[in-house]
Amino acid sequence: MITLAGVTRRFDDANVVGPVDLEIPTGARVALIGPSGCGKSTLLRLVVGLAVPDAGHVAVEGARLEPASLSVFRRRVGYLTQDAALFPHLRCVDNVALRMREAKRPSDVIEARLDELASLVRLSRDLLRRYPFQLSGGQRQRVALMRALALGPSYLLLDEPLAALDPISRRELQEELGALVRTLSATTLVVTHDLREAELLADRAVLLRAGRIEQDDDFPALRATPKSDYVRDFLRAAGP
Amino acid sequence: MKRMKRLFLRACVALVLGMGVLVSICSKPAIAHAETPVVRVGSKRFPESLILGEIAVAVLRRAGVPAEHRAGLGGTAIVWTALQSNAIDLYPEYTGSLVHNLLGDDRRLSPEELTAALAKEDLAVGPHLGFANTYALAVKKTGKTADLLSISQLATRSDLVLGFSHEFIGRDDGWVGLSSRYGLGSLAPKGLDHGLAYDALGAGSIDLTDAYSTDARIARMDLRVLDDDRAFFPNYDAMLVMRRSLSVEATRALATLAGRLTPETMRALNAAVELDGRTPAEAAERFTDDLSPRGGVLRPRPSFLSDLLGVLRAEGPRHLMLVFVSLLAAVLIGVPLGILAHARRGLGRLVLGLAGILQTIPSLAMLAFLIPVFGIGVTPALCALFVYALLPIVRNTVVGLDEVPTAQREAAMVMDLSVSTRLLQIDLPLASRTILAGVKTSAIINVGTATIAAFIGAGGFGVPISTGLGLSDTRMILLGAIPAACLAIALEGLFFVMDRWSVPEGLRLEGRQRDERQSP
Repeated sequence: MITLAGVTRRFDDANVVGPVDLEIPTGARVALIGPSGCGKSTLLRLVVGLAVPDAGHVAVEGARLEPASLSVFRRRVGYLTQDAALFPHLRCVDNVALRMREAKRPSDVIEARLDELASLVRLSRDLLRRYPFQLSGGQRQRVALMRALALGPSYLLLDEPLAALDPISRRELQEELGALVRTLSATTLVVTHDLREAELLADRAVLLRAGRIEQDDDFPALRATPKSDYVRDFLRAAGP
Repeated sequence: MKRMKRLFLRACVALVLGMGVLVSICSKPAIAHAETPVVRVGSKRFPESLILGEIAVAVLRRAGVPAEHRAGLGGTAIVWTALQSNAIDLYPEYTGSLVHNLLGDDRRLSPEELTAALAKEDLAVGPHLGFANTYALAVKKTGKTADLLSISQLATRSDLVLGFSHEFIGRDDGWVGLSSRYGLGSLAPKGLDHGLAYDALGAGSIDLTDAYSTDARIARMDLRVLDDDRAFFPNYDAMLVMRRSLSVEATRALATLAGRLTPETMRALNAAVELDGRTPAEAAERFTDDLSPRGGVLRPRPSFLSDLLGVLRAEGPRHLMLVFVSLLAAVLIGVPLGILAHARRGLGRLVLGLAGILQTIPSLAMLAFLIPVFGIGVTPALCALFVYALLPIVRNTVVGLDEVPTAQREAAMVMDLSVSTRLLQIDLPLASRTILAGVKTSAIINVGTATIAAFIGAGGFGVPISTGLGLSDTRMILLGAIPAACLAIALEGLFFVMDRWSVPEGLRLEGRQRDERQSP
């Protein structure tokens, strides 16, 4: 369970994210949605410790995130961002294996896991021998997903995972990623501005407005009873 | 991943081994001689001093005393400090300069006073050689200076271009004292190397220069020495000044030189070197052969190519050692310093600022600062080269690490990779190309700067350059300049190979693809 209690991050007087109170139960799949600049990515960065709240705190399984517990938490996190952020000097296979080697997994275990992950994201092992720049954007994102899943994370944190892809590969991957996420039992927090993507990847939507939660519901409820004109506008803009 | 690490290790080991071999090659002669004390003769960087240094060495060797010539050290200040700090045992000097070195002014000392003053420094007056070489001002007898006879006439001649050696301009017993004695403060002399002054005078780009009264060119170029009508220039008797610890045999051998060099002899020796292209060693050989019953015959001069090979053999290993040992030290200190400076911004600014300041110190001045601490020779040269090599390496390490993209840095953080894994497997490989560029810059700077090291007796390709400048001998300058230039070019090649070896393949291939896309 991830808990955000009064989490606030202040950039300047006009740009404040929070205070946000949010609970993500174990195994839940939650999407943080809203237009750009609403603070959804900042919230995810606060959760994973890349930003530090000015007030309030983030807790995982009831324990506040501090440098020591953050490290323990991060080992159980799979993190995927829109630009894949693969290490360009390492072959794709080494990008994926890096963390398993760091965790001192024996090489036969690593090999087996690589096979498993490759078939999960539908990449051939041959392709993995290439460098990231030799792959297409969609393939790179698949490799990054393999890297995120390498250690079998309990928490999957996805920050606009498909936003940088062209529309066709994006559609294709949305379906695939949605199906994949649902076969995993990881607690999932996904940030996206795309309502369709949110629905494919998550069961519950947290719609943000200027750094605060505007509505927190499952998708049918969100569509059926929008709380405000802001929500209605967002739904209308996102299309049917 | 393992392979990457291994590659880095291999590069480091190879570098260290290479340096080790070089150092051992270069230091062998020193070890071999360590048992018999070799008399170290110094000399300044102009023909007469070089010839006298060679003569002293020849006389010592003839008497069975092992001796070596630390030829062509920088100016008076460097040779004097070298003698004081026991880095050399003796060198030819002139009484006026000696008193100036000792007391900082131009008092005239009686021989007894001079001996007493030197004794305080643990030094002694050696034999007077038999001629005086006083400072003089020389002009052409034709043209603008046709009617210029004495120094006092200069006061009204603002139309003349004065070209003096840097040493003369800076000395109290040179231009500083002269201009105040004669009221010439309004004239602004140009500084140039003494070796180039006569050519400049001949070409008419200067009208007047400082000269020594035994300069061969005064007679050969039919120059006029201006009358020192207010008796400013002190007495410059040529002599040897030596450490008191010099052995009895050595002192006795050198004493045979007393009074043997008349002004005519000295001018002839100078002419052999300055005008007839003989080396100081050849001139000295002729002189010492004249002392012996065999009489002197000059051997034919070797070809440029064989001289070049000789320089490569004699100075190549030393030059490489100077460049690479200082470079290795700069890498070993500079990269960690860069990592530290990247991690702590405040410290980083301090380190970069400090390295920047050190970088701006002119190399000769840096060497002069280091002499009181390390004496002359290899150690201060290595220190200076290390300091110059440091800034590009530290700066490029910081820049390279700064350039690691935020996305990759954050990915590594969230992956909870250990500090050492992040540094060794992510950050440094990603910064490797920039760091290597810094090392290359430092290496090339060092090849050039190492030629200056000859001024403080550290050897290297600077030896023929320094001596050649002193003799205004272009051939000899080229003997040092060509190998140095070739070394710089060879380094470019070496770093091209190093690039393949130490920059991760993924980065190289990616860079190449980017280049190809950009080219039409």
